[in-house]
Amino acid sequence: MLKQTKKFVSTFLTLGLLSTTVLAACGSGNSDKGAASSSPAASGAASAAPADLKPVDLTWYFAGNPQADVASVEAEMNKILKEKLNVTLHLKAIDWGNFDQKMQLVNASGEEYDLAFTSSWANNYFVNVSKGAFVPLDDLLPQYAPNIMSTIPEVGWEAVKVNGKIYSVPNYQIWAMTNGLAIQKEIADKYGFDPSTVKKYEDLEPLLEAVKTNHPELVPYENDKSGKFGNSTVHYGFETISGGVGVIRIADESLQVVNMYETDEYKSLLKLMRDWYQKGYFRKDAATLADTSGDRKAGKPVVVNEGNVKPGGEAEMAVALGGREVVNVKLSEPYLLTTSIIATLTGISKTSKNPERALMFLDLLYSDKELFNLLAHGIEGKHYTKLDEHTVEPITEGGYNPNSDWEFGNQFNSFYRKGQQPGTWEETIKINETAKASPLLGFSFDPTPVKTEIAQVSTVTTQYVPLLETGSVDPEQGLAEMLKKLKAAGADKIVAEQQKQIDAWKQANGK
Amino acid sequence: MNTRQSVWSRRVIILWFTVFSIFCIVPFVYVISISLSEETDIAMYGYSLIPKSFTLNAYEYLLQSPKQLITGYTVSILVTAIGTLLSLLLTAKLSYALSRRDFRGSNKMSFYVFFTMLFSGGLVPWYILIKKYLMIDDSYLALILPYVIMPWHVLLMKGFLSDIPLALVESAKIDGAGEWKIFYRIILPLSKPALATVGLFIAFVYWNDWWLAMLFIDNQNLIPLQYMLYRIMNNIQFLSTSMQSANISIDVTQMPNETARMAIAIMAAGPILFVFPFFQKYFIKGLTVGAVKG
Repeated sequence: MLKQTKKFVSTFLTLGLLSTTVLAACGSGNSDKGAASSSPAASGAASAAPADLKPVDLTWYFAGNPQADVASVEAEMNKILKEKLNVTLHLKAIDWGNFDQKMQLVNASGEEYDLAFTSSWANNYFVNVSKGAFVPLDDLLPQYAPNIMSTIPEVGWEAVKVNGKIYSVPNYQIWAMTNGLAIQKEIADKYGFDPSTVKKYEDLEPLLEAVKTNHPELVPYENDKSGKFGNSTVHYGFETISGGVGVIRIADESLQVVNMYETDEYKSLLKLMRDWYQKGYFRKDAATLADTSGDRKAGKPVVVNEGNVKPGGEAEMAVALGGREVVNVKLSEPYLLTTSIIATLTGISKTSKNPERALMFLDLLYSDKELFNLLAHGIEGKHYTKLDEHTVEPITEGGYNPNSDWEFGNQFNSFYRKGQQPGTWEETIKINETAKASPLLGFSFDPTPVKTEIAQVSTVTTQYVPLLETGSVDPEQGLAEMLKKLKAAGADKIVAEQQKQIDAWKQANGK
Repeated sequence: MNTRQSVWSRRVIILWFTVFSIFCIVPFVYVISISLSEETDIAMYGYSLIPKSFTLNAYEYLLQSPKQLITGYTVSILVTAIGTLLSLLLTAKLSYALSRRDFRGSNKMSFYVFFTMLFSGGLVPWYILIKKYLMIDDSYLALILPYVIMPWHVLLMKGFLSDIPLALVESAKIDGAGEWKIFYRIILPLSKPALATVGLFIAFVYWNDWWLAMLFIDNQNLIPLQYMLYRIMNNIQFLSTSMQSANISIDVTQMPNETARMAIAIMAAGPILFVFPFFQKYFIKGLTVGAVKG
């Protein structure tokens, strides 16, 4: 009896809080009002004197090259945090290559920690949620995170929902996905090639041809073993579904899942790649090439297929190409996809003793520029010098330059790095707000029923994709062979499962 | 006739080993050559056995900020030295006890040691044990302790020690020596070849290990050389494969370029190359450890 009452009360409370979430999130469309309306609940938490808060330690696992002088940054941050939240923060950076494995162990062993970086590509968010590694945040957010609630647009919360619940806070950075190219400006100019004429990959040919004949030392088009179809899906009008194989057409309201390797678009790309390979537009060893950073530093690739062109991207690519100026060409409209939003998230661990304090800290990080920039750039004079009010330059050998602002909450709090144009953040926010949202936004695929098939399929694709997408083998024969093997590996079963889950999701959400 | 046959067979043998050696040496020469090349040459012309233009840039780059390298060396050398000594002593003791035919529990204990070779508690319990119960993470102990007794080394050592006649022990006993004295004064000196061989194996294990550091070390001042190296390679690989179409950019230009990576590889392989000849004297004899002797 008592138990039932308890259950009833807690359900009631949860529902109440949930509706607050929805209301607060609705408000954030016109962000000023949103901030105001969500603040009554919040101001209590935010203005609470640190004296009321008992001292706690927070541990944050994130990926990145461990920095030599992290201790002094931690100390500086803790000065602020101690005063405002009575929190002592411990930063634990795990290098990229080991992050997955280490986090699996940390979670499996039930180690106590509070915050962790999670995403679609490192420390997989959905896997973590299905294993119950993160705390659902629906109840906590409106109460403890007013700033986050007013910053993150509604689509962000849609994207991170798993079975209707929010398990992580999206980091606010570029969310929209715009497929496109980066072209070396000097060379394009030299041959009178106007990048703005490029609407599809075939339009590049005059430039590639000219580079091939006149610059044997350069690589006309960058290609490597990962293939470039993954960077072109939006251009072809696809949205990929996690788990592989299946895609939907963004324009297709009925959300029909198709096997992307069977589409005409895929075949036409392979034919083009074959043609380009035979004309020598790639490196001969593209099918086995994993690391293109060396080539880029030497300024060899003239055209680079970037997965996402974004404001400020030209400057970033120019740095990667050893200072050569590039022009970006957009090959698609900006789209908000689940995958592009969940590329950077922060989760709060189930093992955390103080999830609400962890969230309060995160909330402060979203609003406090000083705190954010300490974490993102280090200490002024020691780790970076200020070039002007908004721009900084890291000090070489300063011992702290993680260079991954997007990992820490709200990137738009960041100083610009030398070479970034002021205004980039505003422009990015605008794109995020105006980009068209995918019809599949908020759907997350649960791979468990087809785990075996996914593993088998990925064996096939790792074998064929590098060969096919670099044009190293004849697509007529190679693609047929791959499709046959994909069938045997159970690709159809994956597609069917994806369709089943999407249909169920559609019905549940009334789409 | 006999001589002609043996000449031919010798030629074949020599040829076989020459080819084999070339297969082993060429990649290594490549590594050396790349580490001495200009970065731009590699990007332009690819790898070559002899550097197109000779330069020490990569090494200069490494020595510009030698702190990390020196830390790496210090940790690796300390761990290898202490670990090898400790492990060798304990392995010898355990296998000596197991090899004594007058020790009744010998078979059962041998099986117990052998059993761990086939079955283990698994990674997660092991991780919990070291992190939660022993609480030795982030310390030298975490880098040394897990490898102190390796069953394979124990069995190898036992194979050798079993060949020492029990009569020797008995006669020492008659002369009034205690068990400790027998072990230190008679058994250990007699088993120098085995100690050298097993010692070398153990040293390799410690020197080449990055796994323990990956699991248990967060403190940047306790990172061994191999892990430092592994990390660089692994990061570059991960970032170039997983970042595709993820909505982020990581500045890979910050990472060491190819020539520098190879230079680090040379630096990491170096010391163990010098250790090898030192052990070689015993090594050949040691290899027959456990084999049937005529």
